[in-house]
Amino acid sequence: MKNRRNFLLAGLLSSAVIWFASKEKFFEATGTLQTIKQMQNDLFPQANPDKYMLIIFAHSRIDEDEKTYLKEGATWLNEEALEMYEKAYPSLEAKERQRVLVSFSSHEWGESYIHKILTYTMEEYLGDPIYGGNKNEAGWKFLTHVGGKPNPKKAYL
Amino acid sequence: MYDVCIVGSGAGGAPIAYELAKAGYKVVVLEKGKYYREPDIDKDEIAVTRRDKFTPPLWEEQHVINERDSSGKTTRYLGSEAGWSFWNGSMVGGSSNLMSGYFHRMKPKDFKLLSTYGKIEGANVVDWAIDYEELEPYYEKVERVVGVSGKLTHYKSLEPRSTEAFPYPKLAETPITKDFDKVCDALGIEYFPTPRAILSTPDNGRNSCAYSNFCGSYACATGAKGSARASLLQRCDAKIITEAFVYKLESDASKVTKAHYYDQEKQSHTIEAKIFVLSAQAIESSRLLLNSKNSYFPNGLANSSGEVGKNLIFSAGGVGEGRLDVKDLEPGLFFNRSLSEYEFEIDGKKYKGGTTDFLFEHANIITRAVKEFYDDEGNILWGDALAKKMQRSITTSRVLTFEVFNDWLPTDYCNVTIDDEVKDKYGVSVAAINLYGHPHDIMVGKHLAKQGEAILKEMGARDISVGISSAPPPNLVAGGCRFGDDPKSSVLDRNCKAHDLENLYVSDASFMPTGGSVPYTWTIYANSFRIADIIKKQLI
Repeated sequence: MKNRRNFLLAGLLSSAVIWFASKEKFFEATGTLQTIKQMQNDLFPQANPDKYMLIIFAHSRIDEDEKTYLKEGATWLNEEALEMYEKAYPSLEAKERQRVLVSFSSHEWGESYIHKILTYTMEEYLGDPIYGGNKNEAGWKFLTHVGGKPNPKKAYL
Repeated sequence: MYDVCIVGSGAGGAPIAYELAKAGYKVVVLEKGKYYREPDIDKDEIAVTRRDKFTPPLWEEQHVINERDSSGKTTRYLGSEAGWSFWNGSMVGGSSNLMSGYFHRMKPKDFKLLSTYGKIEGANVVDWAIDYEELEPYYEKVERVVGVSGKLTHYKSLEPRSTEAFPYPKLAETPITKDFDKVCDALGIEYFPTPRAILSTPDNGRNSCAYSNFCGSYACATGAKGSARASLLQRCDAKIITEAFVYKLESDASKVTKAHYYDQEKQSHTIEAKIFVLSAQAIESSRLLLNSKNSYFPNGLANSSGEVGKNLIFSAGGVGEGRLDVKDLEPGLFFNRSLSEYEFEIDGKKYKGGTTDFLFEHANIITRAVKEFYDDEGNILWGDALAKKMQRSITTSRVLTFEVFNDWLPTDYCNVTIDDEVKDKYGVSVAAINLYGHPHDIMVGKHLAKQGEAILKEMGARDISVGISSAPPPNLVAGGCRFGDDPKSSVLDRNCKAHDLENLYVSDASFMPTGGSVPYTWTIYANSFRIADIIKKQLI
């Protein structure tokens, strides 16, 4: 854990250098949520990822380390995109984004981050529809899964 | 002034609350968690399995874990940093709400492990202060009052019983069990239908099982599962105070006088009672005693022996699994098959064995999807490749799992102490869990797993894997306040009353000097009914 933290910190510092060297417009265009949502769409489009990550960033049971990690990972992905195409990830063409993901997944930390985002994407796609995803139980139908009954009357936040 | 104050509302506390309240005594139960009744219960996979709805956030309440490896080196982990949780269910009824309810009794020899199998180097095995015959009527009572369903077969190591059958017929089974039975017959392996603490027919105002397919880890929405809440607390008028965290028991030289607890706003309250019962689950019960030290008991309440926290045990063993190619299985039907290889022999020496339960992998679809993220070469997948693999795997196969239970030998290195540095959100020192698994446990676990693995192979399962280790299952925890006849070497007497105090009982799994090789819940319930009878006599 300690090593990952140190690594995260190193990542934060190096990305800060890049951000400061970039134009303000570029910064705006590559917000964490926008980057993650684009990434979710590229990783598993049939989930129709929407607002679930907003829930995660505000969730009472997700700790601050996790939220920091989610933000850091988005920064790393943008760094990978910058290195390869000199553009932020969301500004790339679909094929370019896939190449960035392939390159990103070759690093251990990149692969871990993809795993993390895919996991939250599955929560949105396969969790109870009360969380906003899994519209008309599309995820459950895809896997011929019968969801839990009784369904929750409200989302656990 | 209450007659009885019970700390903790799970399987250890609830039978006493039920019996004493029904006998007309004034009973109060202090429970740290919230009250979830049937109408509040749902099957929200995200809340229950991803966001840990029923356990405290580790940054608010945690344990320190000091893990000792086989070379004697100890590594310290903060639960919050390592993501290592030993909480099981902070709610009215405790973790009995969330159990799968695999119910097995301990066997007569489990009460006499030392005299039956002899000393094991490096382990503190002792015989129990009572024998099976003393507990049998209470095991039987649990079958009726909490509710156990099943079909009794007379397998070799079946324990003596005072009744011929379980009071409730067995639950509906998936047709795949027929293949399992055939394979076991062909391999010459003895099996039996797993008794479950789940009602198969409605009774006592509780509904029968709805076969929702979401049982283990989830609370039961019908009341069929024999949780301490549904089967006992909701059927008596004991007063339950929720969100009440007991941080100290106050005493004089011979009696506990008050329980001090914090409410949600961290306001302190006190309860006075004639008799106090501690049933906060093994680790927390020892923690509360150690944190309650005073001038009469400078090393911790009821700890003149120095034994409080010692000889903590879990359940040894592990899990195995294999994937069966099956389609269109009706969801919700139970697998319910167990093996009991209670004793085995190597080179003429007899060893105590254990129990193996078979079950389908839980229904949790998010967890099952996440398991599909990698291809056979270990590369992470996404997009169409992932969608195809996930759909093929989940719709055409099912993972059959087995769980091995064998004795976790008590040792000098596995115990509960108080951590010097870390405090919880109430400012109370947390428990340090000092962990060590005896190598003998692994040897026995590996031996038992061979049968499970052979059955999976013969059933045609693929991707078979077996993991036997010293990893402690947090939900299968016991010991820390041994009972025994000698006040120098035990915390509790044979009645589970503290040797040191006239009115303090400990009634969770803390009293167990050895654990048997089955999940503990049935024994905890039975022993708690036994203690209830003892307390009734004391109150007369």
